[in-house]
Parts: sequence; C-alpha cells; structure tokens
Amino acid sequence: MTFEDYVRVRGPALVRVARLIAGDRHLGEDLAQEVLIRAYPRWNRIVAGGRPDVYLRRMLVNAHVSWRRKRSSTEVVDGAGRVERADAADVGDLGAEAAERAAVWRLIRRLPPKQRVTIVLRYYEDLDDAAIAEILGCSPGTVRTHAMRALTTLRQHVATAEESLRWTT
Amino acid sequence: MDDMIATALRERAEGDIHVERLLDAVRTGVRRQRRRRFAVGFGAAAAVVALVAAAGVATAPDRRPDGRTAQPAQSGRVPLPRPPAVAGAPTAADRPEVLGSGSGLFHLDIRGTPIGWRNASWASTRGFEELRFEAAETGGDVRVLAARDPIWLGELGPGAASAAVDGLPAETVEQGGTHVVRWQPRAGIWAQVWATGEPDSAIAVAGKLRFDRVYRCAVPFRLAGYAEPALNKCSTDFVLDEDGLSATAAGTVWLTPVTGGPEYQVSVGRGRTDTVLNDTIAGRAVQVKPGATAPAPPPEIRYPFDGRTAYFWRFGDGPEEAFRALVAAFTPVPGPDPNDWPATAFGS
Repeated sequence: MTFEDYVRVRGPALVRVARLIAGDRHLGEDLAQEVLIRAYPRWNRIVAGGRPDVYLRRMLVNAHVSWRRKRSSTEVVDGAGRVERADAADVGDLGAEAAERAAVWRLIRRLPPKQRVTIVLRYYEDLDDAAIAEILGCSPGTVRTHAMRALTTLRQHVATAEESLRWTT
Repeated sequence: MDDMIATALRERAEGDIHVERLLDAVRTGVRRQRRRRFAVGFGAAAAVVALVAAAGVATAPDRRPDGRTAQPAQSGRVPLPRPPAVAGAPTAADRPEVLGSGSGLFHLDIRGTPIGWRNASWASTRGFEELRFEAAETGGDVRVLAARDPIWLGELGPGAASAAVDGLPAETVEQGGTHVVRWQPRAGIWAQVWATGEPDSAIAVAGKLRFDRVYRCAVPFRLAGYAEPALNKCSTDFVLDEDGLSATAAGTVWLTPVTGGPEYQVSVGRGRTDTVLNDTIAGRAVQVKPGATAPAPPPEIRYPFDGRTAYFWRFGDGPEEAFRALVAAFTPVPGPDPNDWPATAFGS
C-alpha cells in the first residue's frame, strides 16, 4: 500500500484517535499531521513491518508525550486554545444525557496520559490489551493496571456528576 | 459505564476530516522538512517581547490584607504579565457596579504570580468577567468568574460544603473532577473559582483574588472600516514562551455585526507550519475550513501574516460574505507590547 493510499483509507481513523489522545481536536489534528510527515520518509520500512496502524499509533503516543514536554510553539494563543461562543458555559443547555457524556469526556481528558490512551484505544479503537501494550511499549499487565485505575477514577466521579446533573435538569 | 465511555469518545472523535487537505498538508510538511525551514521560529521571534520588564510594575510586592508582604518572585520565574493598566478608573473594590459592565475593562486580578504558570487570559463581557490560567502551582486549569449577580455563575449543584475564603463564608463542591468554590468577596460581588488539580486549589486561588486594579482589553489588530459591531466579549491573553524566559501576548474579540446575524470570534496566535492556503480574500492568502454542526468545530478562516496567525470563527449560520468581510477588514497592529495596542479594535 502506498503512503497516499494509506492516508486516504486510514488517515481519518488516525486523526480521530489523535483528537482523543490529545484531548483537543486542533492539537490532535496537528499531531496526526506531524506523525504522517515523519512517517513518509520511512514508509517502505513501516509497511515492511506489516502493521502500519500500530506503528503510527505508537508514533502518535510518543508525539503527544513530546508535545507535553515541550509545549509546542504552534499552540493557539487564545487562552489555552478555546474556540467558543462569548457566553459559553461548561455544561450549558445540552440536555441531561449530552451533559453527562460531556462530563465523562472532561474526566477522560484529565486522566494521566497513559490512562487516557489506554481508555481511548480500548473503548474507541476496540483494541485488546496485547495491542495496546505494543503501542504503549509496556506489558499487557501494565495496560490492565492503567485501565483499572482510569475506570476507578471515572466511576467515582461519574456518580458525583450524575447526581449534580439530576439536580440541575 | 462502558457504553457511556464509548459514546462520549465517539462524539468527541467524530467530525469531518478532509483527506485530500490532510495529504496536501503532509506533502507541504515533508517539503519543508527537506528544505529545513523554521518559519515559526523566525516569525514568532518578531512577536516576542521582554514582558518581564513591563510586568515588573504590575508585580511589585503585594500587601496581603493582614499587612504582610507577599513572597517575592522565585528566581527564574517569569512574573505574570497583565493587560494595560487604566489609571484613575474606578475599581470594583470601590464601586462593584463597574464589574461586568461590558466596557472592555477588567476589574479582576490575582495577587502575585501563580507558580509555574503557562498561560493566562483576562476576559470581559456584559454581566461577568473572567480570569483563566494554567499553572503548575494549582496542578491544572483555573477559571475565575466574577459578577454582580450569582446567576452568571451557574448552578452549584448538590453536595456543597461550607468553607471560608479569607474568613468570609463560602461554599465548595466537586463537579465532575473539578473543585469549585463560590463566595461573596464583598457586598455586590459574587465570585466562583473552578480548579482541577489538588482539592484545595480552588480555595487557594480564591484567597488571592483582588478587585482593586483596572486593566483594559487590548488586542493586536483592528477591524478597519468594519461597521462598529456589538462587542460581546474581549480578552487579552498571555502564553509563556518555550524558553520560559518571556511571554507572548495576544487577544480575542467576540462580536455580532451591527446588522445582526451570528457571532464571530477573531483571535491572533503564533505562527503555524500546517496552514494550507486554499483561498484568497482581499488579496490575502488564507485557509478556509468549512465547519460542521456542533459539537464539530465551527467554520474557520486562518490568515498567516508576519510570523503570526489570525483566526476567524463563525458560530451559527450566516452569509459567507459577512464572514469574509471580517478577514478583509483585519489590520494587524505592529509591536508585541499590549500597552501599545489601541483601546478599540473598531472604527476607521
């Protein structure tokens, strides 16, 4: 598969998972683009390895780690990258269920990076622990630990959020 | 729970992806890498200002209410810059009615410099004023909102516990992982702090708020010749540079045209290497990104200039020509110091 063919077929999936790993649509798109730019010169080698999806997701995770360390100079300067209406509220009038999902997403965004990546790869990409381990560069046991801690955090806070939302709707 | 997580992730991940544009951007990036261009590095250097010196006045040692002097800035820590000060203007401490008057003034500030701050933003709109920042001291994001009417603060929700801020009664609650505190700093003013990070971070920030300063909103651009619209909100923003030794200033306005229609947001940020020029407006090469229905991003136009990037967003449906007219009217203001930026972005 040529690089262009891969981007046309699998590029959107990479961008979508990047949005989730980065916790921000714009940053996710930037990271996915950066990964593809870096992958292009070594594409033949990547394809020869047989699993470009895994390889690129590993690059994506590493790119996000690097970004967090360096705080890229391409960050939008508008108060931490917010694009919103002048009267935007955290929850607003989304309706109870949508507000609940928004609350879950905010919790996922605030998870430590490896826990968030584990949740994204398990629940959005439906990968098993072995595949996630290969992407994160750890053991499947460590993946299960990341998942357990993330879910514990989410369950604790979702219960509180549900109670709050029932009161406000 | 599993279904909720999966659905929440799907919602946030979905949205239009223009594959050919992605490919074009990647090809452009590959060519640039090959030519070893560092446009961002050179362009952004023109926008960097030694705000350390300018901020020295604003961060003179603060007196706490108990008379003790606050801790001086730690060695190597960049003092938090402030928007341009307005001398002689009534403060919210003296006249609470000036808070949230929508006048493009900020009456909210925080004492000293949050340790490990990375970005900060002051905003003013009719009804309330906002201060947002991200700092290592608090362990995450902080949002402060102050208003004359608590209705602007939203519902606090159940489970609120009693607390105190500087000896004044307050309520605290946790909302989905965010720590919240609400109180009345003085008669006629309500304030609320949202903070991620440590459980006591919201109260710690609340104790440092001050209402005895007045700043004006300043943005590094004008909309020359654009019929003066309704200014819905204005913000002045600061981001710590990568070297940690200086900061870059920027600004944003939210407006509704005088003829009515959707709201627009206009911001200026740093230069980017991934802008894919695909259109021309008033002789300017721009990138037009059609938006989609929320929660997808709104329609966006990016205009790179002088090592920076101007962003234009539209919230809701509206005539394309009105959106493009904003870009045509956009006039950058030279110089990196907000004190030199004009008092208004509108007018000829």
